[in-house]
Amino acid sequence: MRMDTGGNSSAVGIKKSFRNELVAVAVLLVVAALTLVFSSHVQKPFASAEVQFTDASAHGLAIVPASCPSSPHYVGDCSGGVGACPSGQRQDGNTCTQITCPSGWTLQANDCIPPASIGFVSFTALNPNGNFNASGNLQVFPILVRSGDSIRVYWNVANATGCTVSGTNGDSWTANLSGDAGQTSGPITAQTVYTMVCEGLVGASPPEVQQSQTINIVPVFNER
Amino acid sequence: MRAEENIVWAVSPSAPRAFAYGERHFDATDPGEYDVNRAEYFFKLAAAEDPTLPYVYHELARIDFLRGYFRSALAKIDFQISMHGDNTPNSYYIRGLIEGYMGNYTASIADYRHFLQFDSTDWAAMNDYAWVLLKAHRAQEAVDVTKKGLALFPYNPWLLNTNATALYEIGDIKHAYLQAQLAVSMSNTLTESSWLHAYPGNDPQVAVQGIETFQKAAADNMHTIRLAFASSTVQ
Repeated sequence: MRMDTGGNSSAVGIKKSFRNELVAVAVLLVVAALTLVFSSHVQKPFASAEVQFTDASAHGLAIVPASCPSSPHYVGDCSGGVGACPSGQRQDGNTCTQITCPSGWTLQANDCIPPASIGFVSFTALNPNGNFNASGNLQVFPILVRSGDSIRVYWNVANATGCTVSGTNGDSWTANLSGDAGQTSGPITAQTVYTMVCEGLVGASPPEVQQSQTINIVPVFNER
Repeated sequence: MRAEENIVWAVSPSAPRAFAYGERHFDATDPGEYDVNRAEYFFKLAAAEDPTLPYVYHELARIDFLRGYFRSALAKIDFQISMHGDNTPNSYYIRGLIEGYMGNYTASIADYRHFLQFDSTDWAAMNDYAWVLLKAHRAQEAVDVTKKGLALFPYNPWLLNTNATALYEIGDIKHAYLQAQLAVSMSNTLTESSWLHAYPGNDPQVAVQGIETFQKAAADNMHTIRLAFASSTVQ
């Protein structure tokens, strides 16, 4: 009986021990599996040849190459960005200084752009003797009149702060354009000179434009 | 995203699609998608479908270069240039970079010069051109190149550091010291974003490590130059 009992207890002990080992192996397998799964989801940093690369100069200083233009999508991107002067500033030695443009000039992409110069805009001029294509410069029509007649004066000026057109007969207008029908003069009784003076925008070159036109009187011939 | 790529690729494989997927995983500015192995997988698929696709061997060469497989990288970029030449000008930049790392400075100088014809205001190309000039013992030319670069990018820490080194090499210790101080100062303002822009193929996760390496290099240079400057003023 005793021996039987002893044999039973020994068998039970072996079974228990075997069971414990199985549990331990199972736990180890689970841990190994979890480790494998976890490690496959953790990306190891990709340390490239460039990361810690510095090269030595002849006297032992460290030179650090970059590789900005290597990406096909970075063409031109490395022409700005790191270390450039901010917009509106320019390099002055080792400092960036504010760009100051002359009066009337505008700052565009770090360049000072002068204001537009005075220009002349063509238009169809209306005239009782026939419409014509006016150039925008000072024009008078007709240029030869009988004493006492009137003429029409045409102009159309762009990029001017103001224009004054005056005649030696006393006519005077202040406007950048005459209108399509022009301005009708007073009576022309002698040779008359019309002068247009236009002021350009602040900072523009030239600062002023002046043009003149002369009206003559048809000579009168008296038969004897 | 990856499962979707796999499915779409299985259903409709094409060289441009594979290349686009490769590009998606080879972008330092997108840390979530960056995976150089997957990028290489798709670039190889693209190359198998259409080896004439612009930039496919350029990208494969970059990956080999980043892994330090310079000979293989050089073979691939040579193949790229033989097919596309000046149509992919930054392939010359890549070849200059590889040759520089391999110590073939004469060839590297020629390739950087060629690339700069296409992008004459590229600060990184100027910096790297100066690097190989210095390695070829042409320090005065390195001074000139970095000076030109600094006229456009006065606070660029790479150019400042290389300029300081070049000035030191030609014996202009005083100006080298000034530039080195500025290089240290500007390297300390580097952000991960600007660093990744300078090294677009690198893993975003190592940006901090890269910045630290650069900052240490600049600081060590300043220390060396300061000692030389102090010594020169004592004499």
